[in-house]
This record gives sequence, structure tokens and C-alpha cells, in this order.
Amino acid sequence: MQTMQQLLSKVEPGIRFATMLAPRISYSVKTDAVQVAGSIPTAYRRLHLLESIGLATVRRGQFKINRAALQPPHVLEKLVPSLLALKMARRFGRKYHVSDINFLKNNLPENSFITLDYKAWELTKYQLPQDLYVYVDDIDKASNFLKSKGFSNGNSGHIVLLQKQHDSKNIIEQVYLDCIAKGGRNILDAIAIELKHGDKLNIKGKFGIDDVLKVQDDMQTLKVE
Amino acid sequence: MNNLLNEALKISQELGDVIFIGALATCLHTKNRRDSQDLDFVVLSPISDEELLAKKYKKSLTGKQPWFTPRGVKIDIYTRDIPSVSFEAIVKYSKEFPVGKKGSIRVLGLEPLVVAKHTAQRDQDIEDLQSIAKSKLKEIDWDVVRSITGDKYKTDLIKKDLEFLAKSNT
Repeated sequence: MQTMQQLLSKVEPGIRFATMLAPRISYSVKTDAVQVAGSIPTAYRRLHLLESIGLATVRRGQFKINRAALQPPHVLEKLVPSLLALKMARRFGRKYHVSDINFLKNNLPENSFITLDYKAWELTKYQLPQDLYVYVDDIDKASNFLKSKGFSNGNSGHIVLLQKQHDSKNIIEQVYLDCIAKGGRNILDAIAIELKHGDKLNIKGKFGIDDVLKVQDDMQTLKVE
Repeated sequence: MNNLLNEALKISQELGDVIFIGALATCLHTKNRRDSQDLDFVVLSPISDEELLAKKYKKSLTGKQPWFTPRGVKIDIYTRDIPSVSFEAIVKYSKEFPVGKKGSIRVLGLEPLVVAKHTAQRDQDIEDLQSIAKSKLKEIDWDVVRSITGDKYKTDLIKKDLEFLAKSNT
């Protein structure tokens, strides 16, 4: 089995390619990627490397880069298990309502643990949670259980199953790394976790100063004389 | 979310004509309820510190000295343009949202919200744009977007990005 370091060194040309792109929401393979990679086949090779660990999404000549690719190598190495789990995630819904979340919270598979939105909310009380992300030992078994209870696998449910990669000894750090790997609003959760539980983290991600100041500012509580 | 909506309604009643921007606007347009527990809004007529204090609003003594409502919710008050959206466009394209049977609040319209988020392009803005793209892409009036940006190239770029985000699952 490949170590995380071996996996990262394999995708390293893709990561170098990603760091050379100007920050944008989406890119064109023909115009943006070729400028950096030199040719269309090389651009696709780089993108497929990134896609293999969830750092790029490619669709019909357009692509998006997960900004986790821009984290320093020692952080990125720790993010790989989260990136792979998120890439293979399965989303489920039944009533597409908070009742779906309550159902799974009351029927959590053995040894499972909650991460991202709901765990970040529990740790920081910063952003309201939206989706319930749960690490499970056996994603097929947990999926079948949900299907047997009337849930459907798709793109819009609020339950997300993640395959547990290993038993995490430091849950707070696991949630923190998952937040960085997922990106989007979860970056703000990661910053909030670092502000509130920094002493529990053995590794620290790289964040924009404006984002850090925003979270610090948002988390201020009223202090009057 | 309901608490924040009720708070927004009370602010509207206490401070007069205000337009909510930021996460509350995104929530109301997309039903995505991920937001921090503060409210950002634009006031149509400037409001002084004395007026806010008279209405029992409180200024914190910490850090950037933010304001809090009488019920303790943190607020950010804007009195002019937001990134790439003029004050006139904020007002012209604002939208009324009912809050139960108790009243309504004014919120930044879909098109100025898209332009502001596309300009900022922070991680959270991209996620919000994806929520908008998935649920509201067909409702966006691109002529309005063009009138806000004043730029065909930028409008085309926004449209291309949103169409991609609508089909992207990450």
C-alpha cells in the first residue's frame, strides 16, 4: 500500500501545475491550462493526477482546483486521507429535511464519528451546520442500511457517508484537516477551530489573513464597561 | 436561522430602511443555512453612533469595536458600495422577503449578490456561488448582471463560472 508521501510525490507534477495557475473560480483547459502545462495532453495528465486525490474537478474542457492544493507540502500530506474520503463520499437523502439528520444521529453505525459541519459547530459554535458528515467503518454496509430505511443516494441529500481511513487519535485535528480538505465555508470552520482549540492541533494550515481576521472579528462577543 | 430572521426584522423596525447583505442574503436566496451568527446590512440613510446608542444598540470595547443589537447579535453596518456593486444597484435590485406573518425584510437581490461574491472569490464565496448556481441559475437576469458590472467580458466570465459550478459536485 502506498504511503501518503509516496502518493503525494506521484501527484507532485499536478500540484506544481495547480500552484502556477492564477486564482480563479474555474479555468478552461485550452486557454488557461495549456499556458501552464505546455500542451493539451500534458494539461490533462496534470489534471487527472489532481483529480485522483480530489484536488481538481474536470468537466467538458473546464476545471476547478481545490484550494487545498495550495497548502504547504507538510500540511497537504496530512490532508490526503481527508481528500480521498471526500472524493469517495456518498450523499443520501430521504425527506431532504433536518429529520434525515435526526434519523442518522439516532442510528449512528458502531465506531462511526461525525466530522465537518456538525462537529465544527459543536467545537466552535461559529457557523450553523448544514450537512451531517459521518465517517463509518464500512461505507457499503452503512449505505445499504440507509437504503433499507428509504434513503436515496444522490447529489442533494444532507447525509454524507465517508469511508474511515484509520482510527483517528485526535478527533479535533481530524475535523480541522477535513475542514481544510473540503474547503468552501469549512475553511472558516478550520480557522475557528484553530482559534478555539489551537493547543490541540499538531499541525497548522495556511489561511488568508483576511479570512482569519473575519473569523476573529465574527467570534467577538460583546464586552462593555 | 429563524432567530436571525426575527433579529433582522427587529433591526428593520428599529433602524428603518436597511438592506441585508452577506450570509443572510445567501441563505434566503438558496436555503443554505450555513452562516455565522452575525448580520451585515446597508443603511439607506446614515445613522450616527448617538442614534444607535439611543436605540439601545451597544458598541463593544474590544478589537475593532463592533456594534451589537440590544439582544446581543453582532452587526456590521455599511453605508456605501460593496465590492463591484454600487449603492444605487444595491437599492434598485433589493428584494423583499416575508418573515412569517410578522412583516418583511429587504435583502440584496440575486444579481448583485452574484456579482459581489464573484468579485470577492474567497472560499466561502465560491461555495455560496455554487449553492446559488445549483438552485437559482435559471432565475438570474443576465441583463441586470451586465448593468451592474458594466462589462460584457466580466458578465460572460461570471456566467461561465456559474454554469460550471451548477454541474460540479464538489
